[in-house]
Amino acid sequence: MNILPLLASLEPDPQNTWAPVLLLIVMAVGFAVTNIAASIIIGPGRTGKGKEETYESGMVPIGDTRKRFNVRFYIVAMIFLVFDVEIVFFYPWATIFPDAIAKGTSSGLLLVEIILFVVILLLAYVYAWGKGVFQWD
Amino acid sequence: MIDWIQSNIPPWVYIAFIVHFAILGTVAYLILLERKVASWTQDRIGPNRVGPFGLFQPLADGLKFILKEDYRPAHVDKILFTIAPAIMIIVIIISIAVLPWGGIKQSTRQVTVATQTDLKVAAATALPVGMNVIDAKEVGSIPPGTNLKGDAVPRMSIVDATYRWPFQITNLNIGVLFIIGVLSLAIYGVVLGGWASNNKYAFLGALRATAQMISYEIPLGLSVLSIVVLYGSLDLNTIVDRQAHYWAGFIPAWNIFTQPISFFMFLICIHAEANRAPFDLAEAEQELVGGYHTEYSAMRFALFFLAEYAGMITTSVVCVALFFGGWHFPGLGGDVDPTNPSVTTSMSICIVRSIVIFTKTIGIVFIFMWVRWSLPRFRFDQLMQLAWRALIPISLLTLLMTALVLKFGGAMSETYRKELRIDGGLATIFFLSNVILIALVMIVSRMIPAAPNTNHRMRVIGSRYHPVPAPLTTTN
Amino acid sequence: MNSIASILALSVDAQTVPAVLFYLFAGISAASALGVVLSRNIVRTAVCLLFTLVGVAGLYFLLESEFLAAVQLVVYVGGTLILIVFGVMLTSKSPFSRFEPKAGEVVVAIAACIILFAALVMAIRSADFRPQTLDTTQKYPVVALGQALLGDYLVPFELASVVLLVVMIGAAYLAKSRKRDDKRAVARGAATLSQKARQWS
Repeated sequence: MNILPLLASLEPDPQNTWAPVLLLIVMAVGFAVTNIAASIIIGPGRTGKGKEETYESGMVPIGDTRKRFNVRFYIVAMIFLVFDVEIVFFYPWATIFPDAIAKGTSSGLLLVEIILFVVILLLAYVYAWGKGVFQWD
Repeated sequence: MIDWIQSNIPPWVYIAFIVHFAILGTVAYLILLERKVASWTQDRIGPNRVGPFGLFQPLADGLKFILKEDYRPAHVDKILFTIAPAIMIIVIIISIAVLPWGGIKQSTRQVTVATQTDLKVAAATALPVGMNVIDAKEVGSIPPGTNLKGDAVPRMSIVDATYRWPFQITNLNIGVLFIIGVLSLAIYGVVLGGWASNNKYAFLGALRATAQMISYEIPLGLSVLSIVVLYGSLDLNTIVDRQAHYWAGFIPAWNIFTQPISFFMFLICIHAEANRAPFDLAEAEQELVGGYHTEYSAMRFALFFLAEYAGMITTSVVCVALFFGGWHFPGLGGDVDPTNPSVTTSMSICIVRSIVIFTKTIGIVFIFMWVRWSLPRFRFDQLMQLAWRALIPISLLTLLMTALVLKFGGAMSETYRKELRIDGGLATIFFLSNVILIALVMIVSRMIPAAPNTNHRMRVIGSRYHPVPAPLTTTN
Repeated sequence: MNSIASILALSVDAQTVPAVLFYLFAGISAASALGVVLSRNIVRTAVCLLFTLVGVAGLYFLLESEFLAAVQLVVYVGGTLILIVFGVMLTSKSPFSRFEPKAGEVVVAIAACIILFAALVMAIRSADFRPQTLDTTQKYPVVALGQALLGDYLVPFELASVVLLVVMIGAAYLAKSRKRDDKRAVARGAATLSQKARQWS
């Protein structure tokens, strides 16, 4: 294996590591369902026409709730996705880089590769900045 | 029976139950602490009626939440309205799975297994699942024979098995990435809750919260990466283990000293991810009533509330593990493996370590509260500009800086190359690089043109800002 | 007693537990995928897609490719689906807005489904589904992935950053064209406002 034996001895048996996660999922779902059900069953339920109205500072609601909203939120989500994918690419690099330095093998190449990757993205970032994507007027 | 439990129920089952209920219990008392901190900041007394010092207040609140009416307005999407808080709390509870509590426990147990060439594998089958057997020595044997039913029994070995298990719920090899991935699901609790409520305030709050949470996820991930790249491990316990030593004999080798910029960015991002002041635009009381949970009541509201505080605990534990040496504390030694300080044979050390990390976590949570009651709220454009124009480029530059320092400083440091530990010299280089980087950023930011002032005066007809004033109306 | 033990300890040797989990996650994925197709409420469709993607992440988890599972969560669930949800919210006007597909659209959809289904069946029939043993010596899939990405597949890796650059430029272009429209709209709005003001004065 390429990882330092030092770190390898810290890692537990990788088999069955999902079993605790499964237990947690069961506990979490149980907690959520119990609480919501308890409050629906135990709590009082008195409703009426005025009470059922959507809260709008005490006024009768005006118009429809689902107004078209600013498309800017959509663009934020789009640019977020770009950076999100980029971060995912960083993780495999980050796990092999210290090892390469410790062994003194091809760490320079790894450094150049990631700098190239980041610089290309920074180009995009600068372009978007210049276009005023990050300005909120 | 006890024997059967010992050999069949792995320790993570107990740890999972203890951590689950401890975190939920702590959350209840954090709400009390929050109110106490608020009153202390504002020179008030705070809750003091229910029990001594108001200590039973959380119990009273919990009861009240269950006994209140679970009100739901007309025209909501009934299914989504119910599952939104459920998604929120489920996701937060799952994210506690990989938090490191007490390092790695090494135990020895005598087991009797059928003899085979690889005793380690044989011993592993006799132990609970997930135990990493590192040594198995045969100390005795039972010759082959027949049992009472008359079946043939092969030769059995009595084996002293030494095995290790993490003193935490589980130890996935993606570690901190699991937390980031699972917590990114929490957005759906907010966005679905706001959408299903059929309320304008809730909808606006949900939109804002979503944009905010995704924007701050990027610098969050990048500042985590700048720690991951130091050790090449995503496992939080390994990251803590590499920090558990001293510089110059007494300074704890915590990453707060090597990566201060990353720490401050991480702290800002976890504030924003938790939707807490000064980033609480999603529920800005003065403009949006309650934000995405305006229409929620009773336990469904309580789940949103619990999730906010439980999320604070999770992210604070991650913060402590990444930047404050996790369970490592000056003076806390004991029976540990000198090369891998996280491995210990003593159960009491594991428990003391859990208490240490928990105390540090409460310290970070206190910062959350301190900030909330001291700082005013951001405006939305300021909030987005902080993420996109400041945090993201700085975090990218920090990552590049880390890579460069590692390449040129780490390659020269003997300790780093041998043990992946940052020694005093390398730490000094890191600290100086951080200072230089922040100085550079400050100089460059002066040259970049400022963002346009978005604080417009709306020239609404009839207002004093409109060029043509509205006609005066006179009443007789 | 033994069977209880094997269930409680979730032993690997008992092949049943992973099998049960596989059917659980596959069931979640398949059922919510059906929900995506059949639900007429567009936001609920998006929520069904959420559970489909989470179910697939669970399957990856079961295959011990934790990194892939995390990427599925971070990129697809936490990123792409947010984009879809925003798109849905931008277009739909009420929580009860429904799809009312026209007859022609139904025909096109069914034709596309049949072609896709045929392609899938062909792919599955030609695939080699021999049971393979998991390489348990490979304890660090992320490390292996890193070596592959930055070693053998370096060119695709760097190309990915170029692709991301293109996406970003596209998004920036969209943002900019929106801004121009905004300015025009603002200009128009100001004109009508001042007209009204003149009428009033």
